[in-house]
Amino acid sequence: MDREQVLHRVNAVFRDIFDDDTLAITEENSAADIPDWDSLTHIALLAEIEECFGIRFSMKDVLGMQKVGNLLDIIVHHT
Amino acid sequence: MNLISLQFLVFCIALLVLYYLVPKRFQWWLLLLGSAVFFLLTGTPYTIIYLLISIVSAWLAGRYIQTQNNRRRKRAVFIAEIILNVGMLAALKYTNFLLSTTESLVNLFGANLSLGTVSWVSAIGISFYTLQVVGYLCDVYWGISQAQRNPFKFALFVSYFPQISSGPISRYHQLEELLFAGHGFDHKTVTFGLQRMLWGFFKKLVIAERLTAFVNSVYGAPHTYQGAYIWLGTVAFLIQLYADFSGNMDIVLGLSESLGIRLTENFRAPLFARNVQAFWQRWHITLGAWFKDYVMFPILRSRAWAKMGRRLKTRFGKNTARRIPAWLGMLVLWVGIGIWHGNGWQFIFQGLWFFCIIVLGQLCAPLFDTLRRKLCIREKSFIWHLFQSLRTCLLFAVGLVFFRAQSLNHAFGMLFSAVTVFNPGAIFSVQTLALLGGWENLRIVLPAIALLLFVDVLHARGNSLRAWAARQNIALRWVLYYALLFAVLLFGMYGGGYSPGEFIYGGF
Repeated sequence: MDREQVLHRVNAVFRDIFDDDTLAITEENSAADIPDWDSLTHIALLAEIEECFGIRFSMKDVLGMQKVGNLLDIIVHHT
Repeated sequence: MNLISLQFLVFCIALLVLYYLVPKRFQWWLLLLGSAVFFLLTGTPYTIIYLLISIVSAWLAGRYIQTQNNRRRKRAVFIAEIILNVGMLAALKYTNFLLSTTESLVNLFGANLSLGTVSWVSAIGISFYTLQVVGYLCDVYWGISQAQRNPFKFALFVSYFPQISSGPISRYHQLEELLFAGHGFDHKTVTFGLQRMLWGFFKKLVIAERLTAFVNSVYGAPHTYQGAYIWLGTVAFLIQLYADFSGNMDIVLGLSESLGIRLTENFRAPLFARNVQAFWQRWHITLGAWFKDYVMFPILRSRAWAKMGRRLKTRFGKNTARRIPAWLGMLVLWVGIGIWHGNGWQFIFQGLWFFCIIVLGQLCAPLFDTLRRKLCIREKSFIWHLFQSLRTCLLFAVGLVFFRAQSLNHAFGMLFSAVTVFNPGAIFSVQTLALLGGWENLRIVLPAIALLLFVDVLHARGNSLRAWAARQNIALRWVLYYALLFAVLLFGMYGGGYSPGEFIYGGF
């Protein structure tokens, strides 16, 4: 799966979690850019992404993600 | 050694001079020596044994976890080391609480059990360095940090003297490079650090100490001072605690900055937060972040929680399946933060109070939003921000009643009195004025609080007062520095038979 496809699927998960069909994330987006992206939503988001891609993030992954780009790096690495 | 003492100032100056005189490769050795001297002069000397057990065992465990390939053994050592460190903290801080709770529970059934108390002396800063050690072990175990090879360097990370007695709680991978790299003398870094220390002394001596007598009077005699006294006493305590703890952090961070080592910020203008959750993201930041990363996240990511989520999803749908496990994880976090603050039921209730307020805040957010729209108030308007900040400060202050009261009974009694006794006139009474130290105290402390809020407004807007001062011409710059210095010397509460209290978070 290429990076563009991963971003597309991740975007669908974001839309579902934040309940916003107009949301269009970019690799540079971080928690500061999306008002409801707090620590609890972060964990819910990761759980959904894990289910969507059939992967499991390590604690290093969880604590190391600073922006969407980091998340994509990890997903691409796992898939 | 009290941070507000001549002894501490002499110690800091001597260390600073030596630090920039010795070759850079020996600077961290000097800091280690300084930390040992500070620890021995501050606490009961033999309690250094607790610190040494933590350092030696965590260093050995870190090395083992790093080098061991067998996952089971690695995990066993990791868990054993966490139990050792947390167990030591629990035994020293919570044994009497456990004994008295057991005693009360058993006696509820008619027994006459008396377990007595133990009088173990707790080591200075054990609540802070234990969290640093546990964080380090987790980071090594999870592969975030490499284990430190040198036991003396690791000892410095755990015992670094500016932060050992009151935080901030540092992460190893953030501090490692700064602690062990040599630092050349930089005029700007040193003066910025010293200015920040001076600002910390101002907050402590001119604001916090001047409110201490009033807060102690109200909380020391809750049956005498009721209703409006409790509201006023609690608001005064919020300001006292903020000035005291953030002042403490200014001294710690300023001292460390003057050594070229920038520690993590622990406060970010919390009084302007719009809700309690945001308040805690700006107040004692490193404690909240520690509990989030090392307690709440592992719980939420555990198999048990994932299983709970799946079951809830099948029975109640997606939203409930997301919310309930998240709230339960948050509950553990808040009970943990409550217990960390002290060994009594009032601290657990303090944590529960903040948990309930945050959950209620999340549930009521749409309601408040609708109300705001119906009242035609813009979300970014000043009046809405002011309302939100005042509401947040009030809710936070209520939580502080549990922190400051002598017991859970006292806390509930005070809260009950605060809402049932209606005596607003007491705020403007002669007695209140006398308790506040008269006009001679108020005419100093009120402008000082206004200055504190003004500086916080600037910080909240991303402006640095120190950077602004540094850009001014030399005359204005020195007028400002001397004004602050003389404000501390003239209006601070110290000397002449007056002994400033320890920092509120200094005894943890």
